[in-house]
Amino acid sequence: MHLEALSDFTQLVQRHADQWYRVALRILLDHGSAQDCVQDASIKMWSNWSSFRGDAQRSTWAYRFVVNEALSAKRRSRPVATTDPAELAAVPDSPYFEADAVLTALYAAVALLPEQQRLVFQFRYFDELPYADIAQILGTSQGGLKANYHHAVTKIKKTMVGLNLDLHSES
Amino acid sequence: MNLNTAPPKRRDGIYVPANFAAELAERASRAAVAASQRRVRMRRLTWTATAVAAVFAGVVLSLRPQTVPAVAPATQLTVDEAWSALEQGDVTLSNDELLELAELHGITTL
Repeated sequence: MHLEALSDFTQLVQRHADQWYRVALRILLDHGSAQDCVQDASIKMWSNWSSFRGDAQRSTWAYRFVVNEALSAKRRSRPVATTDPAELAAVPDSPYFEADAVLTALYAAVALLPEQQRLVFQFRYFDELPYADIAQILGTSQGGLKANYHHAVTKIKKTMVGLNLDLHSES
Repeated sequence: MNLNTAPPKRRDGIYVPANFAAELAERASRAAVAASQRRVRMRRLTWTATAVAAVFAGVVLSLRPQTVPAVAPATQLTVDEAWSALEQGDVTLSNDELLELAELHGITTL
């Protein structure tokens, strides 16, 4: 039983580590912190492995650990308020991140959103996850998520309108 | 034939190479298992320490002289007198009492 669980856990990590890193990096904006986050989230996943009730997919269940870990890490390392534009950068600092002007502007606009709207937008727009999955990851209702996504897109459009940049509309 | 080995383009601009993802997965799995083994070891140590402490406390409590005897003894015997009475078969003692008396008498093996 233990070996079977360990094998399932290892496979889950192998299949989703890149996605977890991506989620953590978008929240923490730092390569090293994102790696630490994936590791810490994996430790918590494995220690809670037997408590999985099967009311969601394992991968969705695992996402929650990564998101919660990343949000906790972000709160722990919240920097002192600064006016230095270099320190206000909203794009991830990672060797695996590349952005043109449009994407950089999008990240800057996303950074201005409240946390919940930012997460919903990232899961929906960047990862193209269904609302049902996002609802399970964030522990909220689908109706609320749709409203959050709608508000996020409206705000982002408003922020980016000066640059004549637009996102394709999604409902 | 598609020779493009670059990771698929993502909307978020994050391109995770396969070797980095594999390394990250390996490190995360290893850390998770090591942490779980550490927890098990700590739990075992805690249980052992608790059990030893409980046994020690039991021994100390059983050997502790009564501070206020419920009934005052009619006569007080010295350890030597008690030991002599035991050797002469005048009294019978339980194993615990025997051990206690032997210890007081300075005998470490019976």
